[in-house]
Amino acid sequence: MGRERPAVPRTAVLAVGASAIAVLLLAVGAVVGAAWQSRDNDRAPTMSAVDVGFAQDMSVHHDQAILLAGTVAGLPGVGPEITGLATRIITAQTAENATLRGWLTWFGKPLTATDPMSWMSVTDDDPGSGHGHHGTVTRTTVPSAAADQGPAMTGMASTADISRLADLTGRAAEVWFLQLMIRHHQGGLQMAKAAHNNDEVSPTVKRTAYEMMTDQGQEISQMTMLLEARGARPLPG
Amino acid sequence: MNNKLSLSHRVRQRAGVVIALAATAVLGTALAAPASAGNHYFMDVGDTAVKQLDCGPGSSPEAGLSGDVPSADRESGRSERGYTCNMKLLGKAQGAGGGIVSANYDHCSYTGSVFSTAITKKNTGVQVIDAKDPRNPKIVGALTAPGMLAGTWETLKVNKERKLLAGTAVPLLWGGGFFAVYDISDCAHPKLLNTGPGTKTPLPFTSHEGGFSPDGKTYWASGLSPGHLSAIDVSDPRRPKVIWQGLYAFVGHGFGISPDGNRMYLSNMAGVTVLDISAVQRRDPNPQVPHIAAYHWPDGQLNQHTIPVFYDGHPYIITIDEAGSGGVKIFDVQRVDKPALAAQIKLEINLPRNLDANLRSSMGGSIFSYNAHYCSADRVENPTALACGWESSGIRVFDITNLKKITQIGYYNPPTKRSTNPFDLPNSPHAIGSIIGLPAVEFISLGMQTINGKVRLHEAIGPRTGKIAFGDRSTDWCMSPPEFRGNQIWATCSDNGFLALELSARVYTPPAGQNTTLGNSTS
Repeated sequence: MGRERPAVPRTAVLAVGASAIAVLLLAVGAVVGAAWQSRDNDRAPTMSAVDVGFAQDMSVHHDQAILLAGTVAGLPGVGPEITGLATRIITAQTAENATLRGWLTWFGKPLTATDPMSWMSVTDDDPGSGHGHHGTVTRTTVPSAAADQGPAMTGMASTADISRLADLTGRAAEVWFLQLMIRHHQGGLQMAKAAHNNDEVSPTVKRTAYEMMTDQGQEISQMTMLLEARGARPLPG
Repeated sequence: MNNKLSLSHRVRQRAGVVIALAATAVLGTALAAPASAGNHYFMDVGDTAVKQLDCGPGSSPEAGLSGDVPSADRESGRSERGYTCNMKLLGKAQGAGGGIVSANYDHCSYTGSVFSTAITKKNTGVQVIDAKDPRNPKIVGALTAPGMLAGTWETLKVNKERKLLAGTAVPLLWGGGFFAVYDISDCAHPKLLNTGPGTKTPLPFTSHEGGFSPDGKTYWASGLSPGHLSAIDVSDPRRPKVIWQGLYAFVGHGFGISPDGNRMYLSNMAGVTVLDISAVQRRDPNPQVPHIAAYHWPDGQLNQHTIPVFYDGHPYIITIDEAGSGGVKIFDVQRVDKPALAAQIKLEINLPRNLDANLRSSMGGSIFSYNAHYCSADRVENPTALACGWESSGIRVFDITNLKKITQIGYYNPPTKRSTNPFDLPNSPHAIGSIIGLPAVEFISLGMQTINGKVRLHEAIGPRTGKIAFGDRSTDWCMSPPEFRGNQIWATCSDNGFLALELSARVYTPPAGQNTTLGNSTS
């Protein structure tokens, strides 16, 4: 003769069952969520298209800064103020190029772009302003004689500009170098700003672009003072 | 048992392929960045030796594997008499040694300099040789501008159209800054043109190697590490200017430029990188140099240089590896993004299965052994012959009229200088390099073929195995590009210096429009 079990209200059974299922789902969710989170954490970093474009184009841009600085440093009659500055630019930009090309090599990307500067949006309605809203920047247009030869990168010296520098000596070489390098740095600054303000860049690229803006901004000020001390002014923008 | 053997053989083969793939990928990606038109890998490790024509009367041929100078010959002194096949020596000018790369123009030859001559004060600078009488060539002068003085490595090149000779200062592996360009219209009396930039003041470039664009208006300086490339404008050779500079690989080397001056095939150590240099060639105001493709292969490293040629208007490149017994490879490059391997040239000593014999005899020599180094074709359009400085295998000449039937038609491996005092040859990189006795540049390929089961390491051991230092110069190094002159071939080897050779009329008829090309110089 067994004792009769007390009757359990049906609603209580349903409540306990529902709670158990909820706990189970929560546990499953937690595990899946943790796995998902862990997968996110383990994901190897990648370079966005803007990261790649910036690294490709800025390193090519730097190549020319290094060439300009190397050229002036070897010209007769150029003083230590300028050769010292040139040496600092060569050192800094060579190191930055190693970083930029190190990224490209690490991630298996080409060192040059198929379509240079395409990572910077073109704003046809705002020509020549140098920069648009939210980090968009216009591409510099080349002189009409070279219209079919593709756009120049912002601030780059032309072959004729470089040849002229190589032919100068003394103070004239110093002035032309400073004028070319200020314009070159202004172009570099635009590119760095565009990368820094772009939502698609990785934090590392953003930080590097910011450091370039700081360095090149300071050097523009310094070179402008050196230029004015030589009775000359920057090239028109 | 047979099944087991064949299984183990298959496993080894597969492992070999995997190793080769991995080595190529690692070298390719580490040393050359990928390109927009893609990286292309060629895994066909050539295991067939080039056919050989019989050696005619007067020859003193090799007895063993083609290209080899066996241990016995090195030990017995046989190699001091040299080896010839359908070629003979007309005359020579040894001087203090032959440098690495020399250049020729008109009836003259210019011997590249090595830094040590600036120290010893013997035959200092680039030596000017008058070879009007090839049976009696004479050193008639020296070029001692800073760009020529302390080593020119692989930079000494001629542009025949503009009658220019140029080179850069490369004391040891890597140099730059000083650049010298000479007017060689009176070839025995070159006149320095750039007395200012490049001579009095340095130019902003680095170099290991260099050469002219076909029109002679640009001198390109390249290499070594980092793989920097500079375009020096020599439109006005009195005032050379670096007008463009870039970096395309972490290691760079020589190159070849297409006849229109628009495409460069730049060595990237595990193959070649293809660059579009047309904007610099055109002197665009704002030139860019896109990296359009890269070709890689596992057998043969330290790609040296490339010779663009045409067969019936169809573009090909002949490209040369200076390490790993890669030999010479010829690619169809009609489509840059779809290159095809058309032919390979290897001597028997370069074959994967013979790399043990290669190590056995080359131990106690020096760092380089039986590799091709610099070659030249006898004309750009439908070339009929290719002549190569094949390091310890001497000068080798091939009939390349038909790429499917390439044949070696002659060779001249000069008598060695084992019994001479190395200090008498300060301009010989071989004499200097013989401080090392180990053929170090072979070991990547040797390792790959050991894993692949083709090399039996015990067969690499021989009487010279212990000679890891102070090589005995029981071969020479022929590093310089030979030049076709009718049936004569002018060449330079490190110990022997300048050599005027003759190729038998039985095996070679100079084609109409014979005009030697090496891809970065016309001589």
